[in-house]
Amino acid sequence: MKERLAIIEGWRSPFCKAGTEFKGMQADQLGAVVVREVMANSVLDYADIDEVIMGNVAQPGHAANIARVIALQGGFPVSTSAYTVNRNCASGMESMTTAANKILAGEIDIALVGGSESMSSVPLLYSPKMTKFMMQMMFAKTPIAKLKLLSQFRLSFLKPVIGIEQGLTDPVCGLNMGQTAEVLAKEFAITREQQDQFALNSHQQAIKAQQSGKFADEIISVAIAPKYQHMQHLDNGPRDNQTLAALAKLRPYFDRLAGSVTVGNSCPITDGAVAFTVMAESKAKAMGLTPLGYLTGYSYAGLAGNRMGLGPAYATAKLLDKSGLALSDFDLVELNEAFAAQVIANQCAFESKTFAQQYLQRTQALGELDPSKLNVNGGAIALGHPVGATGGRLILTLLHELRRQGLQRGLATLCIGGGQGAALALEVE
Amino acid sequence: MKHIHVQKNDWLIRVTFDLQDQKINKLSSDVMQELDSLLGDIKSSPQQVVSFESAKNNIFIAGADIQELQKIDSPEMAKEKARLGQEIFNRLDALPQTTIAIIDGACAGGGCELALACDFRLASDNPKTKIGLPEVKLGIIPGWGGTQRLPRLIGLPEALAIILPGKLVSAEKAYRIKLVDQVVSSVQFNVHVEQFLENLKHKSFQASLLKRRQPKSPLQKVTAFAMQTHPARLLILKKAQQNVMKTSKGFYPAPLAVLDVYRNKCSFEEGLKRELAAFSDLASTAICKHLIGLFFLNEQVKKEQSESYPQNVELPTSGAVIGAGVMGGGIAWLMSYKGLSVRVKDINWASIELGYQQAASYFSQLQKQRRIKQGAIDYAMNRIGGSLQFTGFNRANVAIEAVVEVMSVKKQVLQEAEAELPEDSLLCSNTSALSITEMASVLARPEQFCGMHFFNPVNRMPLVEIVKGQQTSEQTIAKAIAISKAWGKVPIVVGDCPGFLVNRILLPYLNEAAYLLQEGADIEKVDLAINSFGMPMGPFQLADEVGIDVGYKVAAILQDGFGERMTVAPVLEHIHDKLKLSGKKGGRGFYHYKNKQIEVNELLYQADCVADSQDFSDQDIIDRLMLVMVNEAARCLDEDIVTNAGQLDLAMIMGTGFPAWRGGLCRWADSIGCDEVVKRLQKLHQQVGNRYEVAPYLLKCVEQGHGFYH
Repeated sequence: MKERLAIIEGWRSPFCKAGTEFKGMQADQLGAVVVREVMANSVLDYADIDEVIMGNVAQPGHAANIARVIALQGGFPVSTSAYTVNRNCASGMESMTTAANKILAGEIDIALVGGSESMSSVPLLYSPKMTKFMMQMMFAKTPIAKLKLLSQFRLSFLKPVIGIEQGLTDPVCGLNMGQTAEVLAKEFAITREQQDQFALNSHQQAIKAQQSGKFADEIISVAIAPKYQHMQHLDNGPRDNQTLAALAKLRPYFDRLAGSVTVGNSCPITDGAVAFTVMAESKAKAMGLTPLGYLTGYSYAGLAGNRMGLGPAYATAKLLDKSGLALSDFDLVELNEAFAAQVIANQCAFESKTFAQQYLQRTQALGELDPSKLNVNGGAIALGHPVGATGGRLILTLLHELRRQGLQRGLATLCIGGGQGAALALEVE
Repeated sequence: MKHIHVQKNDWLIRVTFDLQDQKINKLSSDVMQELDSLLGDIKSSPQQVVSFESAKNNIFIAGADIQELQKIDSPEMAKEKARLGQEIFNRLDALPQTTIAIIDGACAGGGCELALACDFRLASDNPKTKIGLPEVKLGIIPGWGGTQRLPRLIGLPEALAIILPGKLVSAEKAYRIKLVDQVVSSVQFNVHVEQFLENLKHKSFQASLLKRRQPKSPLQKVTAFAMQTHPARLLILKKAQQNVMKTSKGFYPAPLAVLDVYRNKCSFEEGLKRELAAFSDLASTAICKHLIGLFFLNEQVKKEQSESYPQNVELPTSGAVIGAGVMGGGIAWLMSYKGLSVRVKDINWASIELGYQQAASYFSQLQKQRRIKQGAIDYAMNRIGGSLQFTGFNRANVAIEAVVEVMSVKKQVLQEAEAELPEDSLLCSNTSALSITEMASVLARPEQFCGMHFFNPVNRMPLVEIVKGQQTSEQTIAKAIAISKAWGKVPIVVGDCPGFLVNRILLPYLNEAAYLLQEGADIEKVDLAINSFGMPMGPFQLADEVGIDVGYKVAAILQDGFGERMTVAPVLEHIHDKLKLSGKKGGRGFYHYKNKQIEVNELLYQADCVADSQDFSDQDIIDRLMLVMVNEAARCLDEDIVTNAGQLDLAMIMGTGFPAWRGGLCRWADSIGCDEVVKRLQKLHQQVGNRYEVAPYLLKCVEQGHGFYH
């Protein structure tokens, strides 16, 4: 990058599991609340922001170009342009790296970026056969034509397509996300016990962070729509009373016969939103601002869809090459916990020289992912993974923890459904 | 002709109403005279089509001349005025030509009756186009044939839905109920009008318009037929009567007179006779005078305010509320409903939740009335941001404080908030009784601080008391007035005494009810007597509704400020301190609210300070409770707490529900006569005590031989 991108400030909503507290709030509403609060807390005015770029995967039908809807609902004037980005699970990061591109190219000066997702709201869809039937009925004019069509109707037409299932399935390799985790579990011989232990650890770290008030630095409270009777202050994913025994009881979800990935050692589908204000470092200096942190480099990498969980390995390799950094140069790492098996697989892959040689065109292994530096405040298994927003949460939580510990450099990386990886290098000073 | 212009060509006569030197069109007797002579001329003219139009912006004809209405002082005068109008419109109706009313803007009362007398009506989709018969709101009924022509055109149920509440409908609604025959775009309106008039030349076009008024589907035909039958009519009237009694409690004779006109089916001529009789009866009544008086009072207050205070005010786009309780939440609702982004600050999340709940409930009420859709609610609620810090206050142009009624707390909060607000912002307190001047003493910009006292519930009570502190600048008051108006409220500027205006007058009334209880009065009887006077809630009901703790606090503040005459009744202290009853919100106060049936809290009769049961007549009760208010009102006027009796009356009507049909507190006093009021007060002073010491202002009125109004 030509110069660092200054991340001035950022806030996120509490993350709530799909179907719980936020189930009545659409992604644009959730995003709007976070945007409103970011701007209320900011030294910048709405008029200072040149563009709003938000990540979102579900792209709900009622809010086409959801970033625009979020911007207007969040208080932006009609004159602020906005657009939506979708790089599956990395959409939250994509919004920031895209903004960096535009800012460093001199196209815009200041952007508001982030992501929002309401996985509760992903609809059930009519199947193609049902849709075709309904369209034909609409166009049939005479009673006889309608009757003829009716005779062709089959009850099976009514079976809905479950939107969320469809969205979480890679159409090219035909596997859903959990099935790709199973692929990695087998490839790296990761046991059920290892995965459950990892999941337990995620919950414990998250609970510790929550109870010590760490997340209060990141979260803005949200009045729960549409009833507005209560406010949500905390993430509701982390379980205080999680035990290995309870995790062991669960049956494998994605491979019922011989699998090891359960709903307990996977991240839950979740609703949440996050937003930041960003500008070039030079601009921040000129304005006399003290940013939360800086983006110093990023990489996206592609790999086979059925092993998408290894995305972090591929993307980090690219980033290290590009930046000349070593893995040990990073003081903290946030690696998204889509599945325990996937994180553990990455740990193995990072450490393995053979893997690096065979898949990453490197002679040496990437390095050890020191567990004491990895996801120190818990991860998506406990906190949840609202796909459009998670990328932003990783950045936010990483920067805050680096500051808290007086450290400097962090790596935020995640696997992307469909076969990609993203890796971002972040700094505090 | 001064007020009507006529243009003729070989097939069309265009009659344009253009009342000289006025911004609106009204059917004053001058105009009606000109119309009368014009009709004679038109009748013998060869043209086929006559159009009635307006030259005024956004006004077709706003109605009859209300000042002339006000001057009616006898049933005979009323009858003559109505009969003349009926005749003129009958002749319009009977014209051989095809007549059409071209409506772009307000078409109300007599203007609507004129349009109804035409063969066809064309409306523009201008949002200012409103058509209807609002006479009932002035205490009369349509007197120029409206009661007869409207139901014959749109059916009895729809006609009642317009006449009884005095409603005006939009062009779209008018088209749907067949009140108008076509709606055209207000953009390039003249082009559309010319086209329509051209079309009217052809009988086939006219026939198609008439056809549209007929029921189409078999179901519609059956329904239309069924509506005509006598049993159906009786049912419709019965329902309408129930509605009228529910909303007006039978105090307003006008809607009841309307129902009587329709009591059974009759011929058009017979109907006109009934309309004439009812109108004549109503137009000279005191109630009608009072309601017309209030109409002018509203206009006059606006004029007085625009003359007294600077007019160049920038309206806020962003606001803040400190203290998120019932009132804070209500004010946040109001701001967000009017398009402002709102920051709400409180010291704990539970309070912020209360604020959100309150705002959401007001939006939900609007939604039930179909006045707002869910999408708009979401958008508006998104404008409200709650926080435990002063986040976002740096952008608020107006901030209103609504924390607990404790001076030290208010001072602290206001000081803190002021430091966060931009230099030129308006800072207000919603306090109901504490001194604005004293609060201002801790501020850095006291000239930009005033009281902005809303009434509960914020969504329904139109009054806002703007309290002028000693250091408050004229510009600040002007801003507060403009903002209140922009938010749909009626602002009255009042002085900074304990209780300001409305509460200062109301508290003695509540206090006196407590004294009556102590003297052995029956709680329910007192409330019923006051209901029958016209107040929507009796004093005990009101105290429970407002909250006994809230009322007690204000009463204590007033006792502090005014001394002996406002001594808090001992039984109130007993209820508040010993029994710890809080009223409706706690389930128990002067009444029990736990069961479906609300019952008197008999326990209160057992209190030591309450005497054995004593009988008080309704008149006794009314004298005791209402005259103490008149006395206090007199003191308020004497001390210049409010500009004049008119503004005082308006405030009492809009802030306490004082019956509008009595014209206001001062009007009511004048209707008894100040000398009689003084006599009764002197008797009560003797019998009851110093609380009834006659205000010097009243004695002066008697001396000078005039009432509150002169």
